[in-house]
Amino acid sequence: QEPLPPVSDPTDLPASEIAAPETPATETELAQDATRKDTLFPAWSLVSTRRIDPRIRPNAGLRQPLSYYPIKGGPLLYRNFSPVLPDYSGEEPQSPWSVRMSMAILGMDDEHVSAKFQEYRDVRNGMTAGLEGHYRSGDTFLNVLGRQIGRKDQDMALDGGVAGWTQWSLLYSETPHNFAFDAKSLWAGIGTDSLTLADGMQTDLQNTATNADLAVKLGRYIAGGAQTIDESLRRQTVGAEVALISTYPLIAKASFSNESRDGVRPWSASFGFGNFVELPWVVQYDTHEFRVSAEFAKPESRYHAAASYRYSDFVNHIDSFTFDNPFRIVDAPGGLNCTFACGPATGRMGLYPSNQYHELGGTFVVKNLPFKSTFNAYVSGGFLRQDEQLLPFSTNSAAPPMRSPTNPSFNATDPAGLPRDTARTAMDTQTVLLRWNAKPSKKLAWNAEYRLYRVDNDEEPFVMNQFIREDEDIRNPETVGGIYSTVLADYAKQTLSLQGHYSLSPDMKLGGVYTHEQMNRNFREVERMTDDKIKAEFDWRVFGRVELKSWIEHTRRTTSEYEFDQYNIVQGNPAAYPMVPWLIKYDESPYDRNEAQFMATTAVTDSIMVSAHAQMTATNYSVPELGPISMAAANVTTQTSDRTAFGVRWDRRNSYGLDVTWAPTEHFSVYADLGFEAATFEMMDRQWTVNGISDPYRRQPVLESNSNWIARVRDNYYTGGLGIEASLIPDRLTLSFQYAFGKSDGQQVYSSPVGTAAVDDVNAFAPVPFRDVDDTLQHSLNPELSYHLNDHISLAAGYQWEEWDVNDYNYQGFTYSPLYTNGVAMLMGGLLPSAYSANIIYLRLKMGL
Amino acid sequence: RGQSETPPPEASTRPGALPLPTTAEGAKYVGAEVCAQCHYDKFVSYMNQPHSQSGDPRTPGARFGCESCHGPASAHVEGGGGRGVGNLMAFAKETAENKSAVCLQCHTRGNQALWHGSAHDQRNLSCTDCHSVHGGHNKLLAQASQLQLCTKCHKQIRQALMKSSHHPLREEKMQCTNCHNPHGSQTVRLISANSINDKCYECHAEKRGPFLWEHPPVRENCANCHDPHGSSHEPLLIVKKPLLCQRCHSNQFHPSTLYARTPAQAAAGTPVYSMQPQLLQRGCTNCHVQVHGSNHPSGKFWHR
Repeated sequence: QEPLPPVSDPTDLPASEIAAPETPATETELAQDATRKDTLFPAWSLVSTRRIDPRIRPNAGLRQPLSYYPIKGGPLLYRNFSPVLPDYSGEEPQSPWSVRMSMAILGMDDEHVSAKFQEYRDVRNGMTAGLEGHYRSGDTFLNVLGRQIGRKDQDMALDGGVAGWTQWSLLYSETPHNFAFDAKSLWAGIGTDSLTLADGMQTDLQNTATNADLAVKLGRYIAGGAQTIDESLRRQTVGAEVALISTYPLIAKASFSNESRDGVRPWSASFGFGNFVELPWVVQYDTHEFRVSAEFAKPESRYHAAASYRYSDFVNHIDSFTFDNPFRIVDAPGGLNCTFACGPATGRMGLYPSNQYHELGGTFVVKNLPFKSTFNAYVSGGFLRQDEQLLPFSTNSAAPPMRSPTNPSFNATDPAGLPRDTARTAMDTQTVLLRWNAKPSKKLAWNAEYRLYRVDNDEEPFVMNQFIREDEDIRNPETVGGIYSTVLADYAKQTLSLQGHYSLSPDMKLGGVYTHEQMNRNFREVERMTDDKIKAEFDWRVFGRVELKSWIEHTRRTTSEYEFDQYNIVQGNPAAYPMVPWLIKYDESPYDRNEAQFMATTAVTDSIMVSAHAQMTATNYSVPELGPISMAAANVTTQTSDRTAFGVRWDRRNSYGLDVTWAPTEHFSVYADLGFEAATFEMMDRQWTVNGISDPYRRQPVLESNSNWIARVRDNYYTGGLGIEASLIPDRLTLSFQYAFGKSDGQQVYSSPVGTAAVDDVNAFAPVPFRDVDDTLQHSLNPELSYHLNDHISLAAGYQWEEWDVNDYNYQGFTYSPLYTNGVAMLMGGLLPSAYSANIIYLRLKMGL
Repeated sequence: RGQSETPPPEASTRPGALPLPTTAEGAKYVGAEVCAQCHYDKFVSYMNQPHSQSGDPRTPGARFGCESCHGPASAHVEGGGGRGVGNLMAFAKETAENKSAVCLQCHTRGNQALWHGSAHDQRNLSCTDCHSVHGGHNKLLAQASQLQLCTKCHKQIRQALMKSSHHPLREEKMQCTNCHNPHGSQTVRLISANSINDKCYECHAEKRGPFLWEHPPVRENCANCHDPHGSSHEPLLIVKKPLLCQRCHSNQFHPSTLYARTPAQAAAGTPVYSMQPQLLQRGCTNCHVQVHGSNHPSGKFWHR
């Protein structure tokens, strides 16, 4: 940049402006209000610079902006390319207002092309607008911002106040969540708490001879009578906040918000092991949030203190729903694998319960302690309560009489048989953060931190002798005289971290971090987990041209003894079968993990910036000390290995990327990026049934078995992008072009030793790999021409092409009612959004006042 | 109006006071009116933001205007202006600590209260790496959106956000600070809540419970199963079902083998659907629908 022009000769200014006063001016005297008319400030005006254009491009925000910005001096991280400086030239009319509107009309070939296309947005034919406005006069100010006005993804924000006295803000936002277009459903009453079927159909399906016959009949009903539905939620948020500043340095704030969610979402339900059905679940939620806080914050003070209270009230307006069983018209006692031959006529699902959360928090900061240090403390307590009315055990009036500790015989549909009427669950949390950070010299800094997060279970256990599984069959504990008892999660995590940083030179900095984290639990397989992490950081500005930021970290997790059947024991049913022995749950498994990350950015020339990154993570899971199996009939050899035999054995995740920006002139710039991510892991499991040939407790109590299988799972992900911004006629005609690409490529490859069928191998064949696992391909292309008529009006015309394709084994051979060994499933397509290709054209008029 | 001595006594000698930027020895404050005569574009951008609201005691406008951040400018003015003249605080060549120290004179509260020792502070970032005080973006960000700003460095997150299953960030209905406080927080990964789960419950309050029947790993960490930045597997799952569940569960009776189709059946075109429907589509959650917790007395296995 050229040197700034010399300042006006000070002697041109009024003497009173430059002469030293007899007494120094105070802050108050120097605080100058440029909104007043009687000053020497040049004329100025408010300007509108926010993004209010319609949201059309789905990848908006992911591409770097391309506006020219000269690259000079050493880069720091990836340079900010576009600090938007208002384009001022000469005198501006002084106005307390600035208003800008962006109106667009869109046209597209099929706005209902796929729920995936419209997943969180509302792109359709017609008009939409954005609005930005600012007002400022003296200490009074008002700002308004609106986007997508008139659409289902619109949002508006309004804020204002009187500087130094109060500030307030209002918010309104809508977000759609489209799950499925053109899904099928046989049920009536969608969106209510009762999903019903025609009695004739239930009667017909109940009177079926075989599962195959049932599948044929069901297919006919679906083809002939299923309605086509869209499944979506609408989220609406309104909020308000007010801050009192006149009491400065004590500032008080209060806010309230309400979020509503309404609609249906595709999910499932089942009747025993014999069948399951896909249902449109009703959603009618409201979440009220109320927060108050007070803060002492005076810049000149070394102390900062804040306290806050938050109350969150979640209300589910529908706490349960019933759904007719397509395969039964009359209640009957259940069995494990029956479809039409037994089970309830109607099932009932308990939905998410209404709940309340209170949180008290406090922050305290002391600055300018010895060694130029700062001490931070944060303490918080949370209180989570849920006491909803409980449903009876079942809807099935034909279920056998049940018994409970307080009621020796009752019908499963009778709520009087419950151990208690309401949930009476409670959970408390505590959070503590203590941090001491010091920067005693320009070269040295250190940081010591302690953190505690605790979840305390305050629930009185819900104890019962039996329950009804899936409204179908009665379940008894495997333990003679055993019970079922609820167990809440309960844990505490403590973290101690010590960090130090030393600058070897102004361009080179070394850092080291040691972290010790301990998690103590109740009720799960592993009571104690300890993570010890060592991390080294290295930042280097190489010869003033390349900015390198890097770190490597090693984590070793050790655990206490792994108790396979802890969950059954604490629930009062120790004789229940645990899972496959030696299967270590991956979130409780000991491991060694190595991670590294590198990012390098360089200004190759004054107009070319290149940035590359790599992140690599490798985790090897290992075997903990194994606890005894307490199940009475167990006959287990707890072999050990240097790797976890069952469960996840190792995990790798690597990510690489390259970005290039070329801005040769202020009228032309290009941006391109490439990315690649690879995630792989390997796990082992066994197919088994009790007393079956591969039963790990009785028939094959050893690690090796032909029924073992190993899955090697891979997810690759590729991204690419290209952006061009060219000023074809300077200050008049601008071309922008953006293209984005994403491709996922997943596969699951299985291996299993092949033995003899029915003798020593449940699946005595070489497994077929799954080559198409959530494979998706997406393109997005958006050229746009924008013409600026003058400083206040611009016109733009654009075209957006999007394509999304999906290939997954779930899509192959899909039918709505597949038949399988034990029954029939009814899957109505709600989870399978269809591929799409969409073309959008738009015209946009932007006007500013 | 006149010039004041440097530094103003009440601003520098008070216990705990952070030093205001100092410039040339003996330089005095001249007032923003003088700065505006030459630095017109900077002046207008300053007037278009809260910093200039002189009625608010928290702002530079209520103190020394431009000189609150750049230091007293009389030497700069008397020297005829220009880069380096008068040794003003110009930021570009300053260390991260020095740059941040200017902002931290005032931004010691609210979201910035826990800046000292936070992850970004430790990695030598300064306020001006993310904010352009004379820029025109919301919150004075140096980029047009948070996504553009944060993904400059967090490039692997940018890749994840492009995946098919994602939160509505690229649709601009969420932004990074909905979950993270880049200025420092009480939690790992700069999560702006007491834990990862507490953050998720802010929007997904229905999953907050507590439930009669909890699913303990769910209560411990939502990220045990979900990658909030994006995944190829709906809904934001780190691994496709049923393998996700099988990382922890292998129970009797349940069909563990997704691959139940023989090579001969595969060659004959037998659809996977006909073999193990329980493991397809939603996998285990076809039946165990309430994996986040159940409040049904018969919900022990999260069926209801």
